[in-house]
Amino acid sequence: MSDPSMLEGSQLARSADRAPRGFWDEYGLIGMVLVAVFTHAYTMFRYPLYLGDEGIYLEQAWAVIREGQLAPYTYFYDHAPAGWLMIALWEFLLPRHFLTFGMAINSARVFMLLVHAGSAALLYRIAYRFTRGHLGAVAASIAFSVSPLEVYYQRMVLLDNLMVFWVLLALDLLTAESERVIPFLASGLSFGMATLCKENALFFAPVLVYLLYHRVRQTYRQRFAMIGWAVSGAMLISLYPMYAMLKGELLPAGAALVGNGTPGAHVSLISTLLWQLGRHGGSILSADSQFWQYFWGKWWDKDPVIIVIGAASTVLNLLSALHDREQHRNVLIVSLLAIAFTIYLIRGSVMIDFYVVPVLPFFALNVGVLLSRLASTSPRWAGATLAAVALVAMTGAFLAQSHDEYLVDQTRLQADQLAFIRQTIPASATVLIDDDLWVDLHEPVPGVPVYPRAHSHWKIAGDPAIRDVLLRNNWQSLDYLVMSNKLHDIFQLNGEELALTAYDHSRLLARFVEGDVELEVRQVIKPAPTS
Amino acid sequence: MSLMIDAALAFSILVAIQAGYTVYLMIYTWDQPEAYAAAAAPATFAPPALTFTVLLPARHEEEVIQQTIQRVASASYPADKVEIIVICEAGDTGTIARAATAIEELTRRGRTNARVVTFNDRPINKPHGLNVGFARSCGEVITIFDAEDEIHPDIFNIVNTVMLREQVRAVQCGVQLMDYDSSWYSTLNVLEYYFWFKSRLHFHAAAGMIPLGGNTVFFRRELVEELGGWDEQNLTEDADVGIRLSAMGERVRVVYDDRYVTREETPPTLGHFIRQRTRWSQGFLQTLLKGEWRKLRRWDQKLLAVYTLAFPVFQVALALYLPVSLWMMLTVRTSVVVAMLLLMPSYFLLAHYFISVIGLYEFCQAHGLHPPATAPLTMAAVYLPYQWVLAYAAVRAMVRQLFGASNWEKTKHTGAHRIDQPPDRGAEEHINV
Repeated sequence: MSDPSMLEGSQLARSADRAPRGFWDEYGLIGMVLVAVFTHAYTMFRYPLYLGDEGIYLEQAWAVIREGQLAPYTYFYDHAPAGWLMIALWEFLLPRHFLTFGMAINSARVFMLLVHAGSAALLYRIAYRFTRGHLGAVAASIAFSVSPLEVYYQRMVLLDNLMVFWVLLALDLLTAESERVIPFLASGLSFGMATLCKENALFFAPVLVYLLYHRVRQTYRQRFAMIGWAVSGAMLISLYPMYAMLKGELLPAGAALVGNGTPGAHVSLISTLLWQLGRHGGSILSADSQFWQYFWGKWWDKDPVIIVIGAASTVLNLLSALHDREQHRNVLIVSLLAIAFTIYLIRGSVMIDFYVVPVLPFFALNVGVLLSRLASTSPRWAGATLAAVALVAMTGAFLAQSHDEYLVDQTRLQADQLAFIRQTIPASATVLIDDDLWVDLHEPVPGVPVYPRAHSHWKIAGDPAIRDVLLRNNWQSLDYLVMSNKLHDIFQLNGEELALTAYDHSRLLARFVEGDVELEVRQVIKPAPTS
Repeated sequence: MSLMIDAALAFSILVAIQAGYTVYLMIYTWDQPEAYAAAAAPATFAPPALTFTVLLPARHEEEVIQQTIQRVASASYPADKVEIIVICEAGDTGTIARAATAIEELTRRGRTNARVVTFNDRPINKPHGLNVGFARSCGEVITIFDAEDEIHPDIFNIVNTVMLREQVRAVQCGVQLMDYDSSWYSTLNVLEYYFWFKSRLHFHAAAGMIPLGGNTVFFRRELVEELGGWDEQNLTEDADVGIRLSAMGERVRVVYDDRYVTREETPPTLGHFIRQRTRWSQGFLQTLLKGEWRKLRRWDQKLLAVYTLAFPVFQVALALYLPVSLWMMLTVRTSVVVAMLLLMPSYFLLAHYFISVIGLYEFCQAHGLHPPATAPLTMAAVYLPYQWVLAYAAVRAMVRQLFGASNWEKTKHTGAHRIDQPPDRGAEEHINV
């Protein structure tokens, strides 16, 4: 049966079986996955610095395995848990679990490597289908795996990387060469999984639905495909509120909508959601908004090339596709995918620098589509030459900017800091730490102390069970401060009073410095007890 | 208590797998367009060659039998090649008289190959009637229609073409209930038929294990002889014949095309509906216990046969499971993960509901009907009650089977699916219970 809705013309590629398989058919995808693995894996245990957020997801995976809970502290629905459940499964399968690759976060970075290899393979396939050629697929893959901005974030243990994998899988299944319904249901489930990894995947939903609609409209499978996609995704996502409901934590306690921290209140999914929706990071129109801080401070600094060519390709693709939507439906969809998440970034909510991660694969896809179209402009030889030159230039520009990614060893500082802690601080001490070393300090290792009373500064500032009960809201309950890079700035930014006071009453035991990274271990000096 | 939770968990997972499988069979035809295309009716018809015998078993069918005979007689196939045999129990004088009147009318118009055949020995049931009728028939192809069936005029052309061109000896054509808006349970009942014939039967045909329907099924004469006719002790002789054919390795061609379905009506009252469903469920259980399915060649066919025939048991299990799981979730202190696993079957039930709603729109589109905008809500409201009715019928079937009751509970027909004739719900009933 022919499916009249199958995207035609310049659109989805028909199966490659008809033509004899050439070099690129055989090795294109494998080659690009190898590139992805190389750029990602080489020195990934050394750079970048272990980020606190990586530590948070890892300690939550640790809690799943070691404590049978979703977090070592009160889980307050900050994110849906699918991401660290996957990490927990991975850690569980590893022979020495968190310690298999040295520092605890390394074990999860290996998982990220596998996830990125998977994402790279999916992106290649998707780009190939959208452009009907290997040039576009190769260009997209290089933009996805070689740009230093991408390498920097893809090595980190971030929920966003997992979300990207599931979104790409959903997209891959939506564009698969098939006349069945099951791939669409699987796509819906993948999208649900993406949302359970990180909720802002929902911003991709309108574009995915648009793509699905144009694949199946006016066919025998339209109803089952459309409703099936939505229902399977929604059912999977519903497990999250279902979990909250079964725990009695769906609705806020009493009248207080934002119940966190109020004595007697309990956490709830709805109150966290309302709280998050209400946070503002400043309007995109204001130069000191978080968006522009990260834009200039982080992204532009790492790699202006991918930002410029990614954004430019997206805009050019959009403009040319709007000109003739029927003919260029795929181009339109590719540009909308990048735009959908850009809207999320610029809408003025609170953000963290790595929130840019989900937009990058779609910048890469737009670059691939644009280069592929450039290659097919006439005269053919001129277009192909131009596209090849552009591809080489882009690759060169990425590599020219890459330095730290392959040459700097930052995590050595954290390893030294950990070794110092183990030598100096007694296991019974109450220690304020950042999350980067949390699992290393809690996971039992033969022959070294474990620190059950080492707590994240976030929880010391915000979790009543730690701040009010354990520490009795008294800075003198703290014995040591383990300072990650620029942690003091974060104390000030968030007004972490307890930590600031303890810091002011502390003395430096050790400092680890390289470049602009500075780590410390400090001891809290308490007034002598009055007898 | 923990043992109970473990048992509930294991059961929940089993029910979920079972429900997932059932849900997949419902959408099979949309997922496998090749299977559906393979079931298409031929685009052109071969010249009429085969001769047919239509067996029309009828019991207390005064209201509809004349019309049915006329419909069969006016099919677009040479009259001398379609023999019509109405089969009645000798005491059913009302039906016999009406049938005789219709046949006289045909005779007056020059048609001589229609007659009424009666029997007065036990058991008084459909398979017995079929065996009696078959013994008196002479067509090359034997087919069965029920008294209330509204057949398509081209049905014989289709089967003639398929049997000649594809060299098959057994053909099952589609049957469809039509009156989706005639009672609270009719929508879901119509959809059961729709998914069975439009989707699931193709899966069975592909697997080589197919429980046949009770009518619009066609056999070459020698095939019926090889089978030794119909099992008179079985309440669903059609399913039994299907299993036996499958065990013989006989290929059954399914023809499903929305245009050519045989139209039927839903049972007129809830009581009839329950009795009909009880009979089917009990017949399936009988067929399961009879064990002919053991002769199937492949293990996956055996599994599919057991799954299909034991379905009434699953139905009871699911219906009992829902309240029990809800009760456990609310009263027993379990971990949240356990509670979520206990909820799993409910998710499939929800999926089943959504698929049914889509099915209604597919069905209506195929037949040029327009469901009211409130249909999904109505279906949601009656969805669980309908499942409970099915479960009740299944329990009834199990109890009857246990206590050896195997009398035939007949379904009453009023002609509600015949659009040109308003249904007569007040008609007198002559039903043995």
